[in-house]
Amino acid sequence: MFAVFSSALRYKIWFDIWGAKQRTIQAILTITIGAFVIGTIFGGWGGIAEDTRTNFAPTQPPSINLRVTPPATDALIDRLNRDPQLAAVEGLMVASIKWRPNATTPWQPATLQARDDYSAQKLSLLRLEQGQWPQGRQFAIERGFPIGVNDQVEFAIASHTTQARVTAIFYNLGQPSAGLGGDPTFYTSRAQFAQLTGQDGFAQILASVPNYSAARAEAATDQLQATLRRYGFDVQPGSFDGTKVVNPNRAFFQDPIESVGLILQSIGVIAVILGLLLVYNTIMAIVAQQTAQIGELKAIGATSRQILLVYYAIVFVYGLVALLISVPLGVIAANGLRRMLVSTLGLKPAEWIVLPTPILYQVLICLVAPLLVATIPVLRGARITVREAISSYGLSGGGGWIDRMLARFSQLPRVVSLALSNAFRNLGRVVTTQLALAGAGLTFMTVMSARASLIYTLGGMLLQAYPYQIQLNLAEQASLPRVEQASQIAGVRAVEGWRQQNATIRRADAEEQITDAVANLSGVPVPTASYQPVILRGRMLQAGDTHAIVLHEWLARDVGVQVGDWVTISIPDPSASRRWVSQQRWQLVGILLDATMRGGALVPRETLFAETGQRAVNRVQIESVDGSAEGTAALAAQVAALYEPQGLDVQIGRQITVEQRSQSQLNNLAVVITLLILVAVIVAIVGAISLNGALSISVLERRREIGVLRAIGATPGSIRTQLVIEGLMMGLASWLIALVFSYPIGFMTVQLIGASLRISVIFQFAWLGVWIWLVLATLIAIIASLSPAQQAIRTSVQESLAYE
Amino acid sequence: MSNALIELRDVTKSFPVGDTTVQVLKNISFTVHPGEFVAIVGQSGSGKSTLLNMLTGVDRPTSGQVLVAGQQLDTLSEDELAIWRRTAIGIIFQFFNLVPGLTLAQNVRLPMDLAEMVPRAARTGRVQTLLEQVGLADRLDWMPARISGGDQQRAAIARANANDPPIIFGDEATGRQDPRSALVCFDLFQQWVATGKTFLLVTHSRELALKTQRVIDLADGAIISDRRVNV
Repeated sequence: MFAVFSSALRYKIWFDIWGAKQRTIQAILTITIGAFVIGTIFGGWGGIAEDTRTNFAPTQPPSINLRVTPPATDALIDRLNRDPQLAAVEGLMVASIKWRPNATTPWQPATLQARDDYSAQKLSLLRLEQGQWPQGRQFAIERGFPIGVNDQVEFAIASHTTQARVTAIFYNLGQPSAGLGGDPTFYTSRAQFAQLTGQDGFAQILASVPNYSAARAEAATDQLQATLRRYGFDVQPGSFDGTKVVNPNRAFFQDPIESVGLILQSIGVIAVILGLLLVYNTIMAIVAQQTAQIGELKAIGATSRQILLVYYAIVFVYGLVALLISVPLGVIAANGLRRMLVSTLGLKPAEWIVLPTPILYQVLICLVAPLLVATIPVLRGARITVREAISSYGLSGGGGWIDRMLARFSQLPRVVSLALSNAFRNLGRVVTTQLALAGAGLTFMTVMSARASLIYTLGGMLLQAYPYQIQLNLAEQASLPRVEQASQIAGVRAVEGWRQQNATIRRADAEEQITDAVANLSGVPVPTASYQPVILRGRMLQAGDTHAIVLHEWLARDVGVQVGDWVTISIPDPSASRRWVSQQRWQLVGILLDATMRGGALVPRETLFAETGQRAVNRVQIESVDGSAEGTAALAAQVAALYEPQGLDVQIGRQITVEQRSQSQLNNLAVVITLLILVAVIVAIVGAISLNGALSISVLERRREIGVLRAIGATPGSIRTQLVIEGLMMGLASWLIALVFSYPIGFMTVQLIGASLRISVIFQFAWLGVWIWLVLATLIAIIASLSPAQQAIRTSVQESLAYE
Repeated sequence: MSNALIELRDVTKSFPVGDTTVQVLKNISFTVHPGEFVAIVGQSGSGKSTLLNMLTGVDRPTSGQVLVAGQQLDTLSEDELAIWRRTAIGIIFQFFNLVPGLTLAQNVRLPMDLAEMVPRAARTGRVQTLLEQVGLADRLDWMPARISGGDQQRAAIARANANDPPIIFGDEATGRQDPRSALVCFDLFQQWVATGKTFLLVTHSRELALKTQRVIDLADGAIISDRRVNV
């Protein structure tokens, strides 16, 4: 590009870049920040996809995942392996157990798994991280838990306990990792599994189809299910998220991760746009400042094309420097972010991933976008005629509508009216500066509202929805009077027994299909005191209801029903003597919001008892007198101690109290919230630089005017005050604009986050964000105006007046 | 067809001011031949600068024709005018209009770089000579902001002759000089004229005008006298 410039024009370009260092740094910084954010987010998320692919694909994920009762025999698995519709079939031996690292630690839930032959795995391959495949009495544990090779653990299986030594560490990608709050899976030999559990069959069947397609997998599942039922098996979804058909090309965490990435990428794009607005302002200002110079150059023979190239060259240099800075920083940050998130997801991150697409985006942001943005001001400059250019110097015009309006408020102090007049004189620049600053404020307020909404939904709202602090799940159904014995324990205020049951759900007018949604039915006493969720539409269950049902918002959406519609609920027969114990129509009376109950459906407990022919419950909700975390945890242990000697197998989770569940959910989202706040801070920095840039440009343009003011007696203090007031006007205006849009934009963003995480997030407008941004906008305005003010004061009156 | 280097035919120029139109130049016609040293004089507001803008293609007439160095200027586009100015004319602006980011040497070299007529290897030497002629040989690397208005004007004079154009226009070209420097510059203008260049000097100083060969007197946008002096 420089070859087309004469040496003198090259000097001019250099002077415009190097001679105005502050302006150059600002322009480079804003382009760099935008490109850095984009490089980091796109690079990070692209890297996560890459890590997922390289980790996940070699594990031969199944496309069909079923749980069967009773467990399948070797002969059946062999027969299924000969089915031409299936590429591979493997049976897993699975049992729910409890474990603890030592006798002083409470029991925690876990899964015990075994395979026929670990060295000949076909699907959902386990990788050996340490030790050897388990043989005889050996045990392995999944990686990520605080248990190492040679550590002793204790298992409680059915009614007996056993000591075990961990001899290997496995890497299992098919399940939520320890970092995501998943429970551990222990692995042992087939013989040991059979000895401990008394079961020698395969309770879980994994299968794959040749040349996977969703339709092929569904058809194969349909047929496999029919075959299994023909042989007398009850078939339920096997994957932990309640589905039978699984896309083997996508890891279970990909949907939410990609959705969060999309939100962050959107905010990154906003940062880029805000940065580009400053580039536009800067080039506009350079051209405006140099209008006379453009005229001179044209008068001595420069063509429009040469003028155009001079200013494009300046922008190109800004972009090139920004690119050189942002690409390596982006790669480093993207890899850091990727490693952190990928480790949390339980994957093994690659050491370094450098993807071409994010770098291409950075090249576009740094080199192409600024040139495009600069085109309007640069063309305007290049097209200016010599007469227009040369006659444009001198004092600025003024006398616009703002000045005329201000003239009516003669009681305003002169310094304030001058500041107001100057702040809004160049409306084009005011608009672009406000877009940048108000955009930053709006992003900040939106992020704060998103944060408040997530915290409320997973924190405050959850605690309101579950006024009973303790939830205990029982491995087997128990009669109501037995579980209600807990009310005799000191410190227990109330006890409620729930019946939880998996079932399939479809519209009452729809045919049964393999893809029918799975509902987690909760039979609750009517009315229930232990669960008070937000009812989005319709009503909660009430006394007198029989076949009435309240669905979780997402389940209602998946099934495609509204309040008043009828649904068919098919409850499987646990004995497998027949397919369904109940297949009944229920009327939808309400739709509820609950961030933790995705596939949930509430029905009257008595009706569920009648439908299943069993008056028994498997969840106990307990209200504690002592609401403290320690108090409720201690009480939960007491209740478990009461139940267990009676043969009630309490599945004590890591989150026993509602507060612990809420905290665990918030911990899972902490990374998302932190990232959102980080991006908001970056956007705020871009906004601050924009305001500083706009004020500096404004001061430069009015250098002669400032010189005149000082020549006729304005003190440096009054000039400084005028410029700070000018900055404050801009800062406060941006705050007001951001405030106006913060509610609707915040609401939409929160809905988007909820949709991507598939949780119902209740919008909470964060006034805290509004006030923090007011303080920040004020500080940014003052800080951003101080350096231009100093610049104006430092320049002598003589220099100011001589300035062109 | 005359052999005039500059020819104005019934040139008028009007500017809209509010709802009315003000005629700044009224039916101006004159010719200038090669090697003439002409002064255009008049009071402030007489139309001198507007007339100079017409002659340099900076502005276009409302009616009439302006022919300079064989070109009818109102038929040229802005870019064609820029290319024409590179070689046909040199301009000394009233406010010097040096590019602030360039040294005096770079400012003088700029028209040569744009026109690419003077061989690249010869440019540095020519810059030196031109600045020597105006007494600025010791300030080649100085930035315009560091020198006085008079010195800046002398650099602008050197720049006007960078491509050795046949016509040079000067707008108050010695207005910022002290008497001694003004004399040096005026001598330089005379030397240029002696070598065959045509020089049009716009000035409000009748004393200076009378030192040229011909004085065109403007008042209220019209020529009130056009007389030869010092012939």
